Amino acid sequence: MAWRTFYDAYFNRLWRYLLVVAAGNEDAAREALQAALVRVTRHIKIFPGEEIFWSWLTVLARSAFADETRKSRRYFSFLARFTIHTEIEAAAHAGPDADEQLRVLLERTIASLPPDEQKLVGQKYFDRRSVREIAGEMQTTEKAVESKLSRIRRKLKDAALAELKNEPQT
Amino acid sequence: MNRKPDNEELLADVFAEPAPADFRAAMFGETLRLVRRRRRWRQTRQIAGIFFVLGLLLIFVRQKNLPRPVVSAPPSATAAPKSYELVRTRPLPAGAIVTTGPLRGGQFIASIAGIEIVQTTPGNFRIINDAELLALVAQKPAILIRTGPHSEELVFANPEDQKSFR
Repeated sequence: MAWRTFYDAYFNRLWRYLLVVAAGNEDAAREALQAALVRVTRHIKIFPGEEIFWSWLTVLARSAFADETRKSRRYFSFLARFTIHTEIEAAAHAGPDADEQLRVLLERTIASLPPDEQKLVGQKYFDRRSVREIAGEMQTTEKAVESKLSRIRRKLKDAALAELKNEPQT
Repeated sequence: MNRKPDNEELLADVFAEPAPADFRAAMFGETLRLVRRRRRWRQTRQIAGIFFVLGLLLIFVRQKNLPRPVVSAPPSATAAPKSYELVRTRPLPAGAIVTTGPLRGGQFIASIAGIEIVQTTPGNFRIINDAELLALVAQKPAILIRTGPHSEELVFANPEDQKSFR
């Protein structure tokens, strides 16, 4: 039960954090997430607060990412020579405010969307209107709205990850 | 309308859980498996520890309950009359011991046997002829009988005379 609660609360957050740490590299982030969760089961303990727990999780995730990157470097050392350094650097600089970084990226990518898509995102996520309401207003089906929203989300994700990859590391 | 994307739902939806779709479920299953294994290992360790402590206690208790060696008490004045006689021995003084040893060479006394040894040498005899033989027994009446080409027998007339020539 405790682990289910933990997963509900932190799995997606940790995933997003690792996406930022891995500079948008989903495969690397997935490997690191797996390793990080294994480490969590090994080293979990009682923390005085949620913030401290989250900080601990980010440290664990960063070290897992660094280890996984090092491991893969053994196999693809030549190819990864120019990218790993930047990934580790990103890991070192990514703070616990990864979500904030993603929000900023999203803001930028939403702004680059066509107006009708921007409007749809705004109705769904900022005006908090239901899909049925939106479908009624657009005189279309809920399924069509869901499908369009899904395509927009995919587009937003791809754009954000691409921007993460191309973002200069500070 | 608030255009700032600070909406948690948008963030969660866009950066949804990683593909494949069942990744989270698989990770959750793996986590549970690891947690159970760790729990089992912890319990095993605890049980082993308890058994170890119990074993030590058992050894300690057994050591405490071992029968102590019986120490015989000195005989008291009121003891029952002895059914045996105690004989004490002690080593003899050096002057009271008689020892034997081999004699030295000068102390031997040997006895010499008075035996006279007579030696004979072969070939110290001579073959006599018939006449000389008859001359030897001239005092006794005897005859020489030829029994073969190379054998003869001297026969005394009186058998008593023959004994003196043996």
